[in-house]
Amino acid sequence: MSDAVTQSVTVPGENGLHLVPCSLIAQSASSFECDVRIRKGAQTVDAKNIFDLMSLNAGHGAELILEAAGGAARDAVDALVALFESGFDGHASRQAAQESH
Amino acid sequence: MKLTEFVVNEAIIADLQVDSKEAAIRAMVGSLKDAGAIPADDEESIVAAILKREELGSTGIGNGVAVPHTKHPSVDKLVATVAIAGNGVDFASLDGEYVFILFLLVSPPDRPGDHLRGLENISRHLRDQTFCNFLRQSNTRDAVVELLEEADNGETA
Repeated sequence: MSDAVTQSVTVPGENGLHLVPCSLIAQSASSFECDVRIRKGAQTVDAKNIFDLMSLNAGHGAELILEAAGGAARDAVDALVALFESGFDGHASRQAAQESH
Repeated sequence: MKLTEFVVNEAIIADLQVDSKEAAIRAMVGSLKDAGAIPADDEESIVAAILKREELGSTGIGNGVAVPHTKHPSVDKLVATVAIAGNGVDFASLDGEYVFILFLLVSPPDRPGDHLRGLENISRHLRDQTFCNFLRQSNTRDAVVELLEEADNGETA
């Protein structure tokens, strides 16, 4: 598809893609109408589906490929890249601090 | 990792009847304590940690499912329990719907990979609507255990 966009990202945070990052990704991806997928190795999942995202088992440092196709595909990928680069807005580190006492 | 490797069978609640998110979490942690999976002295601290985690955002992730969880130094391996709430619980879920299936996880702070593998395992099965339907209809502990074993063996999901 001519308007398909892909970009690779690395999973930040020592806890990997646990529930908070997955829900933020699903929320962000769902705000775009285009298809948004995330690939890890041979596995590709729907970035709008939190159950799919959690089934990636993407730990800290895992390499993922973001893929979007359709209208606003670039915007969708950019939004997700921003989330990864922000370390999920500090949610992961806050949670780690709170959970580890 | 299989569901039956970290779900404590004796702590499964097949007929959870509560009227709040906090009561659901208290009942499930209490059940883990009664089963000997967590120390009695740490029950309150674990409940508090799970409730605090919920403040970051509900673990009611849609599809009638919630996955309340925390890390806690009182466990040295991932432990979990399952509860089925026939009447549903208001969990302030992301999709606004009540939850009927709850998986509660407590994992050691120094092993984030175990927590992630537990979540991966649970979500892989829970995205299967058939598995969710069967689970919601399970009204005895034995029925839930049987379903988890079938899921592990690839018979449902």
